Amino acid sequence: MKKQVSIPGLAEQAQALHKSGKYKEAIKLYEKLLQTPDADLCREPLANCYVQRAIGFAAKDMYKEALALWENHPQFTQPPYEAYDQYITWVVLSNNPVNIQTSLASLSAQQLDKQYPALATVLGFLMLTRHPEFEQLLAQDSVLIAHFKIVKTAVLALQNNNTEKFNQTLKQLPYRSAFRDFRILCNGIVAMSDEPNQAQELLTKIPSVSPYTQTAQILLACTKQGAELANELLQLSHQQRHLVAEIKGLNNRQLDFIAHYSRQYDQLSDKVQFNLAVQYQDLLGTEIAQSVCQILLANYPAGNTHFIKHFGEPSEFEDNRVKALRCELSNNVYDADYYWRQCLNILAADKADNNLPAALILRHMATREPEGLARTKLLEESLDYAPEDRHSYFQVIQYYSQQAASAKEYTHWLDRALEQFPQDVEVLTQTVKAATNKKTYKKASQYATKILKIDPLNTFAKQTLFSSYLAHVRRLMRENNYRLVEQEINRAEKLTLGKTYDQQTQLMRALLCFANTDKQQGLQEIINALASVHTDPVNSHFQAIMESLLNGLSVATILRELPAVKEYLLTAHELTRLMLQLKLYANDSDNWEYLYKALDDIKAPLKKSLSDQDYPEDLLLNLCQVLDSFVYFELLRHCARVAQLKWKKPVWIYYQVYADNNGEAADCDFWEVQRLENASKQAGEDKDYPTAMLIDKFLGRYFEVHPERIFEVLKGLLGGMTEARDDIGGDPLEELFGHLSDRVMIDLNSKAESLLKKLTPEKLTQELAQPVAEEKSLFLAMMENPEIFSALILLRAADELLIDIDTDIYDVIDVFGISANNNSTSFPF
Amino acid sequence: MQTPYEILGVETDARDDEIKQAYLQQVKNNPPDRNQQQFQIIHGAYSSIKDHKSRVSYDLFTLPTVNFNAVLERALKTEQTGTVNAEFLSKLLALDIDDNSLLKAFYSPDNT
Repeated sequence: MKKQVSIPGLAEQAQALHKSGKYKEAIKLYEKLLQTPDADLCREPLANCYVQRAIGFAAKDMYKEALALWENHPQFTQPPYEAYDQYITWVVLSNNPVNIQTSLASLSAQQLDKQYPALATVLGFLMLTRHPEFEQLLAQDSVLIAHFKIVKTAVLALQNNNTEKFNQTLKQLPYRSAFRDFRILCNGIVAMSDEPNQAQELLTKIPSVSPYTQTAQILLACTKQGAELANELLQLSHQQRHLVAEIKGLNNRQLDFIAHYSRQYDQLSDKVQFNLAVQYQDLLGTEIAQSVCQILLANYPAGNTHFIKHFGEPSEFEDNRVKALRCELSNNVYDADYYWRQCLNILAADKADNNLPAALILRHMATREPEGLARTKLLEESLDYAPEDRHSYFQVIQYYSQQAASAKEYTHWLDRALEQFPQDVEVLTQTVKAATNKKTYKKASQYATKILKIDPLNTFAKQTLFSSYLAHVRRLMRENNYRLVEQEINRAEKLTLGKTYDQQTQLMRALLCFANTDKQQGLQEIINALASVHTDPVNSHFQAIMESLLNGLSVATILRELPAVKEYLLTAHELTRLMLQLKLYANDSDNWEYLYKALDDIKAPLKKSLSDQDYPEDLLLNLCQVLDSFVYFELLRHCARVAQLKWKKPVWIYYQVYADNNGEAADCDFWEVQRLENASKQAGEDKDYPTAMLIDKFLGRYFEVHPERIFEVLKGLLGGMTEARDDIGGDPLEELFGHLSDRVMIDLNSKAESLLKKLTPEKLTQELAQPVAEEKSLFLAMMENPEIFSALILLRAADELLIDIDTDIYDVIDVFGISANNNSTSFPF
Repeated sequence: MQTPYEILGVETDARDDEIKQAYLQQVKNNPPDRNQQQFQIIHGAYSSIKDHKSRVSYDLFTLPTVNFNAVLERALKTEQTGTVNAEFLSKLLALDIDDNSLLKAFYSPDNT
């Protein structure tokens, strides 16, 4: 037969199909190519295509087809044949005894032990499991058969419960044996009972492609417990699960549970869980099943009837508790409170001692409340149930301590806390502070002494006692009871509070010497004591006056010996010391008159220092706060004015207005209120909230007295500012000078009076109107409206006094509407 | 998520001293310098149940959730440890396995 000519491109097409795994189509083209001159080139690829197709069929369990395809391929190629080991396996799996026998018998020892290790592993596995007869069919001189004999001996040893021999025998298998995975499996079995973790580690070493994988998986399941066991069982067949159940000792009911669970584990809704718990409560135990179902009821209310049928009525308390917690989770505080109250009612109705849970619920509710009366009331209620909670007492006490109108409640709860915790230093400290605030110093000293018995190093108690001794010393001095003074000073000295306190006792001794023993020597000792405490004359002066007044001694005699203070400028440090003294004496003394007297004596250098020294703002703010604490407005006013010139801040506007009105909000005028409102707004914008609160509090007091003004403010806020301005337009002087404080106005008025004596209206108009062009019209307008003259004279007064009043001649012209056409105004004469 | 009782490995009716003992043992096994996070968990668990008041508080304010793993644990509880003897081994080896899985052996990297 004549050969066909070569077909261009056919070989390339066949190769492309071959590469892309389309073996059937490739085979057809290759077979065509066999008829062409390129036949030799396509024989090997054609053989490969047959083998690949065979493998594909085998993967689909079509072993006969696979065999037929594979058997086609040797005609196109030379031995060794491709995938011969797989071919043998297909023969085995095709269950044709004759073919099996022939094929296995044809395998040489060399092929089994060297060429086809995977086939050896598969055949080894089959000999161990379903085809022990293969042992006789395979090459007897092969290592595979030798190793199989070892394995059989090992299994026999296990049957005889000879674990030692079992282990020893298995050790004879080399690493590269076809039974390598079986050995690992056996090692896992040995470890299972005693070291399940090690067994798991071993069993997971068996590769997933090994024929022993499924067996390993079953054994692995046997090493697990609970949820892990359940998950392993889900992966196994019914037959395999039964074997695991046998090994693990699971009963039929448990197997039934797993079967049920395996059907629903991927959609484990609340309902499914509920039903599983009800159905298998014999496995779970009634208590656990009931608890699980009760929890699930919250999300599966339809189960309620079922629940009642199996477990009776659900716990009402538990139901409300869960609902309350769920409401809290969704930030539904209102309903949460309702359910907690339900819980409290149930607890109250229960005869058991439920005080602690009730108290804890109330405290829990309190934590969600913002600080205030509602929270405090909850805490109080909780303390009625369980009075041992310190923290709750402190919260209640702290709240009432901040409420001016709750002094009675504060005392009540402090007494209750003291009754509950009589040895608690913190409670005692609170009691001392309360007693000090109420000026019951004797009581404060008693509790301070008690604190020192519990905590001998407690500084606060020592300081309280020191103050108490000092107050007693001063009273004794005033009563001339000098014998007891000495005794009290000694007691104060024994408190060992430090250098500052020692200096104070030294000063007290000097005062005692001055009063009782030797005036001259006492005077010298006073000077020395003051010099050791203070580095400046102002502080010395102040303390000398205070102590003289408090001890009933002659102020003048002592002051005569001290250096002059009038021109002294205090440093920032010295001013701080003075502030400390002011605080101390303001706290210790219940009579601020002495403080006022002492301050009157040093106010000149203080004012001068405030005006001339460049103090930091914080220091001046502290000074204002200290002065405000004992309402000394003269210095406060000066300090605020100095500070306001330096720092145009809302806080200084507040202190200026506050001091100008001697702290009386009701006395503020309209413009001061306006300034404060602007300042409050500014403070808010600057995020200076303490100042904003301070101003708002002060304004609140103002509006309490002047409720009618609120309307004006509201008008301003609602855009009615224009109208307000129109109203004020009726009083141009108020518009021009209304922003000035009364004090400034008083100064301006008195200066204006003195100017009127010196200047005629014409001269005054001429001088004031010089810089502007409307001199004549101004004069004419002044003749028409005497208020213009008043305005001009006040401007002149401000000029003379060098006060910047933020108003000038142009404002006067603008407010009174003066212009050149005023020329036409007819004169009244 | 584990309960404080589970973290400390104590019964729900354990006494204060038993809980403290369990806590100290856990801290000894998981010192803070070795695993700070685990220590925090242990410490938090102890704080939750260390005394009667804490336990009442824990019981009151912990939103109960169903731990289905615990349900499975309980449902599949057995007394046996799972020992495989020769009989079980024979049964294991006699189990039907998927023929196709035998072929996987030929795709092993060792075999290529």
